[in-house]
Amino acid sequence: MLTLVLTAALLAGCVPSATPVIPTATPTATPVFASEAEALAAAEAAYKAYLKVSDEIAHDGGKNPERFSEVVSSAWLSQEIDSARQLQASGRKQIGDTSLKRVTLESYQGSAHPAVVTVYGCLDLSQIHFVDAKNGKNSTAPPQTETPVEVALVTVGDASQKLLIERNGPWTGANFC
Amino acid sequence: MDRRKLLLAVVVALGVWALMPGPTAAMADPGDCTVIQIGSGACPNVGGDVHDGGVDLHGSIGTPGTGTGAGGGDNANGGPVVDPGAPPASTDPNAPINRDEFGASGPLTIVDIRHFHPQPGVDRMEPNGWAVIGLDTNFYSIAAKQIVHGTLLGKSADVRFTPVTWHWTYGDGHSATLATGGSTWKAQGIQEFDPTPTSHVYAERGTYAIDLTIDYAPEYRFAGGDWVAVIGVVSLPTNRLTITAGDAQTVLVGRDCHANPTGPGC
Repeated sequence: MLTLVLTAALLAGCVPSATPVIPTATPTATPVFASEAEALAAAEAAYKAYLKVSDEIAHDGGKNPERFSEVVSSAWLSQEIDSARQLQASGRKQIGDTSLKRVTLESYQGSAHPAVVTVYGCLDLSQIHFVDAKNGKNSTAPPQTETPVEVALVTVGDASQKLLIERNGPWTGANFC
Repeated sequence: MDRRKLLLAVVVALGVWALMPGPTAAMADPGDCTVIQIGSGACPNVGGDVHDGGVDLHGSIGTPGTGTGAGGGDNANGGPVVDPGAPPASTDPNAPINRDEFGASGPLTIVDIRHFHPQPGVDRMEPNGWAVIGLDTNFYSIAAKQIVHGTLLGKSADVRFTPVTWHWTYGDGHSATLATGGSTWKAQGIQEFDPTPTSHVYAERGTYAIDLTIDYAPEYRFAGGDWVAVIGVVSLPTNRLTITAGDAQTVLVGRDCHANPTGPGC
């Protein structure tokens, strides 16, 4: 039995080996963000920039909504413009500023462009209310203090780390705020 | 608010609704609201509660209230109701007279409530209508996951009911709460009178009434969005089964006793 095994092993050694595998340099994709923490920080900064523009336009009663193009994707821009036009049509304007609290990462897909970062956050609306743009009288009471939102952001271009709002909306599950 | 006032409010509200722009023009899909819409109350707020053997879906949305639109409200099935959630009429003596308290130019909140209920399941058994003392009687239900379609705030709204728990009371003082509705012996590939997860053995002769209540886990989906679980379950009774339990003897017969009742052994 031992003889057979040794013979088989020796014969195997005589068989020409398969074509040698030559290591080749496999292309390694460079992540858009080095870490999830970095992606989260970029998303938070982008969302705050979006809130700033949104507040400015809402303060103006919805005028010049094209300003949103700096902070939202082309796919989401029409939603913002429609929203601003609705506000303008209502003759109201926003008083006060929104703010963002407790941002957490939901997902990050950033092995290649465009990177997609989805986050949860609490939208603090306690400092805003809407008034009649002409006479300044209160139009709506301050809304719910904190609203949970889910936000998707995407990068633009092939090398940029700039994130734009791709989708925004209230979180319909359990309130985490 | 007494009943007459409530009715009046609803009637008046429906009248105002008919004068407003159609809700679909001003609303965004769930999960697709801008911060301006959320802050100004123009983003639909939808929720669900278990109520009266089903689920109540309730939604609300603010409107700009420009008063320039025409018609478009769907009042079928007790359609949306306008809640005069806007601030009360101005105390300014120079302000325009607002006779009905529903400002034509002020923002309004549209409130809509719809009830969805599942079709009840069916309780079945084998042998059908009788049981043999000491042997397993197999109970099973016909109850499948079902989706009830409707509308809310002028948009599609669906409620999905998934059966999750079955409560059997066997009429002999015993009961069982199970996570399965069971199935026939044939479907399980076993012989008649074999035990099943939902079978029950009667110990004494008698007539028994068997009741089954099925719990459904409800979820809702608004305007084609994701399914959202509703807290709680909807408990729905099925039909009552009345059976006779008796002894059984094994005898040899010459032919089918139904066809030849006077034959040997019959």
